[in-house]
Amino acid sequence: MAKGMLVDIARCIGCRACQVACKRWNNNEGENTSLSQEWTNPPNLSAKTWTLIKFVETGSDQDFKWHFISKRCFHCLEPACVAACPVGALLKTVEGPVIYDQDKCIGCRYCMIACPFHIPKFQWKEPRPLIRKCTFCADRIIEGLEPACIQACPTNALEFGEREELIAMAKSRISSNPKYVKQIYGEHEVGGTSTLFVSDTPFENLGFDTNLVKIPIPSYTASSLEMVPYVIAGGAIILAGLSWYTKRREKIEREEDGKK
Amino acid sequence: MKRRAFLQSASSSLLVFASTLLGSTIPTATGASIKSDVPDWIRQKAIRYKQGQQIPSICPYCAGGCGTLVTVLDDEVVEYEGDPYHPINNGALCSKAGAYMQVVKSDHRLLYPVKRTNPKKGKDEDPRWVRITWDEALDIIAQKVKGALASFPYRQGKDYYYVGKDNPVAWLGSSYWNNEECYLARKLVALLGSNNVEHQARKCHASTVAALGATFGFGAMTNHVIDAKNSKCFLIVSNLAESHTLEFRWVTEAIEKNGAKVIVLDPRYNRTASKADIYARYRSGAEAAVFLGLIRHILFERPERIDWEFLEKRTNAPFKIDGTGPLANWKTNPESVFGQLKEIVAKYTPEEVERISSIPQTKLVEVADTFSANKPGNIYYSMGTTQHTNATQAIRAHAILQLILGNMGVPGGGVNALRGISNVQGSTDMNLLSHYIMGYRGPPPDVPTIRRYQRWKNGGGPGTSGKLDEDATKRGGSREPSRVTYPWSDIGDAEAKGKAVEFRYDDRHFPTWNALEYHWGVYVGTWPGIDPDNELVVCDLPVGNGNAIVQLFRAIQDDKIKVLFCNAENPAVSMPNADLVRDALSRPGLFTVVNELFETETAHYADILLPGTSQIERSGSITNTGRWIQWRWKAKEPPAECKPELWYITELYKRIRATLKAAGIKLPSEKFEDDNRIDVKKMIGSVILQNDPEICWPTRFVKEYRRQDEYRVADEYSVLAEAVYKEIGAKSITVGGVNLPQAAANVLYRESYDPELRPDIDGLLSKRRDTRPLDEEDRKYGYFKNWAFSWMLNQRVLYNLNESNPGVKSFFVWFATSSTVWLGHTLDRAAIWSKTLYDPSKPPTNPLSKGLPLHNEPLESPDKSLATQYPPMWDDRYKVIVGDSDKYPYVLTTFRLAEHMQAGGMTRNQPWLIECQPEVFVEISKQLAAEIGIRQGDKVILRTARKPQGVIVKAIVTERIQPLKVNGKILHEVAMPWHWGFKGLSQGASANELTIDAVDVSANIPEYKACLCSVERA
Repeated sequence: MAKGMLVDIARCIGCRACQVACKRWNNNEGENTSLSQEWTNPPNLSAKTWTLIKFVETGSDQDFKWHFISKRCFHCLEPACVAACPVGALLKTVEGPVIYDQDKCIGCRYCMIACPFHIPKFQWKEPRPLIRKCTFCADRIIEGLEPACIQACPTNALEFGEREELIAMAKSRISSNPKYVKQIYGEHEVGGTSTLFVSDTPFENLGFDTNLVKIPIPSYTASSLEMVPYVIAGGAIILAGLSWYTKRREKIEREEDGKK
Repeated sequence: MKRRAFLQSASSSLLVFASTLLGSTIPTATGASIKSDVPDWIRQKAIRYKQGQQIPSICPYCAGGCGTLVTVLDDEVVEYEGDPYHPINNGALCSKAGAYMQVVKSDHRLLYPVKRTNPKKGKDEDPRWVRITWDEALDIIAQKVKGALASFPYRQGKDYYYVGKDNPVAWLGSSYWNNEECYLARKLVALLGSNNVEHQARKCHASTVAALGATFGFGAMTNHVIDAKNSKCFLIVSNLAESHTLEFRWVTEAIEKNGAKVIVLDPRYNRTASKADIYARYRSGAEAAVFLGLIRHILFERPERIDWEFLEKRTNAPFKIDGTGPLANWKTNPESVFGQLKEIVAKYTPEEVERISSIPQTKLVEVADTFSANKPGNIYYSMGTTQHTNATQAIRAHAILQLILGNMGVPGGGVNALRGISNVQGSTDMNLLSHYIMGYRGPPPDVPTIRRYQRWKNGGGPGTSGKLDEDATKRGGSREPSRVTYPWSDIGDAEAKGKAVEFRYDDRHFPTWNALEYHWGVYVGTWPGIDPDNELVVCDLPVGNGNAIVQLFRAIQDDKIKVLFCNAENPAVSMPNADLVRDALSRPGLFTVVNELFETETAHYADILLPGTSQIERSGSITNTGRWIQWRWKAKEPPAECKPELWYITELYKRIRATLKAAGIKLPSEKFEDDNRIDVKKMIGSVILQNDPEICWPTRFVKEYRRQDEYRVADEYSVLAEAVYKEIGAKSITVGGVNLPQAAANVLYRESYDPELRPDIDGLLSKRRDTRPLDEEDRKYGYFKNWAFSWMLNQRVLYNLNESNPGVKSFFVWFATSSTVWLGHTLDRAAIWSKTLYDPSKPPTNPLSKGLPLHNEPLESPDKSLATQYPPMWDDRYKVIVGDSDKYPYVLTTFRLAEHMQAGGMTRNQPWLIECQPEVFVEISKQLAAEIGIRQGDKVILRTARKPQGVIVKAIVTERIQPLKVNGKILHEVAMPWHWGFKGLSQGASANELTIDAVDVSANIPEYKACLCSVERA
């Protein structure tokens, strides 16, 4: 039921078809940029750029290699952004996409701080700024279409399907072909993500955070949040005790005052 | 509040809150669904998309021929995406195509005709455009053409014809136009008596046409896009992943399914190289040496990998160059073509190739071993090979490598020229070129040939029926009993008289001229035709070749061209030595008419600027790099006063013709009629045909089409496109009860129009959208023979004997010095040694002296001793400014980016693409940067001998460029993309302000890819 996306870095040629297809389907305007040595443009995701190719260089001279990483929201299985949102503007759907309701958003930017991948972006220049990020083309999925970036990909470096099936496919690909790193990034990171990566180069060399926990980030807050009722109830009891104690002291004082 | 009261209320509210929390779950498990929870603001596009109508189209950028779907709602484009049903791209698209909607909807498009009011022209001059009507524009143009042609002589001696090269009217473009538009453009230029017609094809693959034509027969990509999936190895001399992104889809497929190896040769490490198993960096201009080195290694070190059977059966390897053979001992006989090849390549040892190219010996051997071990192997190449003074020879070396490995005529093999613009194959086929007139047939070259043509019309010779009267009846020749007919009855007779060369020429050319006489309503021959050797020649087709593109701009500089039409082509950016071109465009005596989507750099020099239409605003066919002729349906109306190109060409000619006629400027045959008070006409079958281009303009077939197909917009110009398509590719045409000898005006497109086969689509086979395989062979290799149509005769892999379709499968080339040996279709032998590229009068360092390729240095060679040993092929056909390696020590090459198209006229107006590649730059190695003291992002000045004041660009200091070691010395090469110019939303220096304008001596393609420069901090 839950959809996923498999990004095969070994297949990506960095043509930026995904980046442009995303802009086109979502009607996001082009940004003003300047060229960097590695060519990533714009340099980061933004409120207008929900998916982009990161150009990463490794090695030098004969060992030099150029890698291209199609980057966007990971659509975590248990998203920190959703947990952090105080008004329920972000929702994790059963189909996979993490979606956003701008009418509910209060612009607190907790989601930006909570996201381990720094995905949600803020419309800093808008009079009523909102959060923007990849929607996993939820609107297209409803209509039975693939996300725009995936349809556009010339080399099938982006693939769409049931997350479980993609993991099975990725496993067979990385086990049958020695060029692949034996890891599916996103299978377990932060408890699993809908966007998965396989690669011919170790993920840590490509700027991936490989030290992320393997359990959902909201589970941390969950375990502490689970304590909250007890803390509060305990607090209430203590306060009630204090109240009883002070009442009693007042009563004794009053009685002693009465004796005087 | 008292402390007690606070504690009481706090404790009670905390208890309530705690109980609430205990009753709920963590927030991630809300059970939200996209079906119920996706907010409307996200869904707007999908809703409109679902309501819209989807029209199939073909991408306007590279020549991959990817299918696109245009979703239109209320005549507005809602979405432009890959066509999921299309076999080449299955819905995928590169970034350029993905952003094409921004061309269609751009606020910067030209919407109205304008004229220049500032008489001064120059980069910094404001043209001061003033809006005019189309009617005014056409009138002004017609008057200018009349003025230019007023004194243009229609008689040469006593004969009546125009000399095509001397005509003061020139035409450029365009590969962005549909076949029907290119065809009518060629017709228009010919009817004005001019062969000064060129376009983008000259600058991208002219050398391919020369080299592959001379080696195999057809000068085109031998296999097709999807066929890459059948390959086991790729030798890529091209930036395929960037410039032809969707072709790389099938390379990826081969990597995954066949474990195919990818070898990339390129001076720069590019996005294609990032996917290579072997990447070999080489010096620009060393392509021929590298390939000769690969051939040598296989011939001498890996003979077991040579396909001996293929060489013996399908090449001229076993023969002597005089045509004797096959020799029994050809493998060892030094007199055989094979023996000569061995002798030629012997000196290209890995050591020598390293010295020339900088590829380490071990790497060259690794490349040769890998490519020869994994068959079938596919060579992809493009501008890196084609744009050199010795390009034709370098491409020949590619072809010979494939022949010795037997990689020709098989799925997964081939010499695959990657064409750069969506219809550049078609515009080349329609011959918007100065040395051809239609279907790679030249214009009549001289008076004796026209006389021989008249004899042919009168009966006998090539294509003969054996009955002279029948020939004359079909060909429109004289039927007088006393008429003089064709001199040699067949090839045997011609050979006996040593006239095989003429016979072959006539066989190829005369049926096409004959078809053009009928389709264009003109006369070619002598009058009245009874005695061709002594009568006056009357020829309406312009005689002799025109000026090739670089020479054309020199002719403009010399004020020989008075009116220049420039259509969807941007020479002010795309021509080498662009400053010279911009100066030429500024000549006061030149009147320039530009038809464009945007105000490009070239448009900036126009006198009249006309608004063209985008590729989804008109109907027509285009031909992709793999020769697939596919239909593009009109999806929406053009905006404002943008006019379909077919309307433009049609009305342009009508207006010019009327104006010229009123002034007494007419076709040579009409002048002949006036001077002699006679009627020049011809009889085909029982019908008398007047010479009258009006009834044939734009085509005779206009009124026949009224049926609907699924996507058709039956407006006048969509219907006209279909009618012109019939003229181009008809299978048969009956006139006056007889079948024309050649029905199709373009012989390559014959049978692409067949109403008997597919009446439901009016016989336009390019409209076929059936992905089902034709047969088992088709299923196995993915030919898609029911999809659209492919020239020749729907053959998908040229020279493949196993495809199940009738027609041309064989190699057909000259291969012997003896003029008696025309090795036509029946002999089926490719030319390792080429007669067409053989001239024994040349010095031994010139490959033409051998008929086999050699290495020759670029005209601007960075190494003087190499330039002495391997002198450039340049023959000083005109003056070129050449720099010295002491003053300009570095090699400059140019390249393209995935996100921009050619001269940038479209893509530099698309913000989504400008975001990705915003500015011009030069890539410089870290070592060179250190030497000249610059850092990442600094501005540098690049200078060449053409532009000593230089251009200023941003330096990208990168590992992707590395120092080379040439002839034992460190050599720096720098690379600059050439997409930029001084107009559009993204502006920057044009790389072509620096490049050299010397050309390949066999094909006139400029040497863009290697020149000398200096680099310093700005």
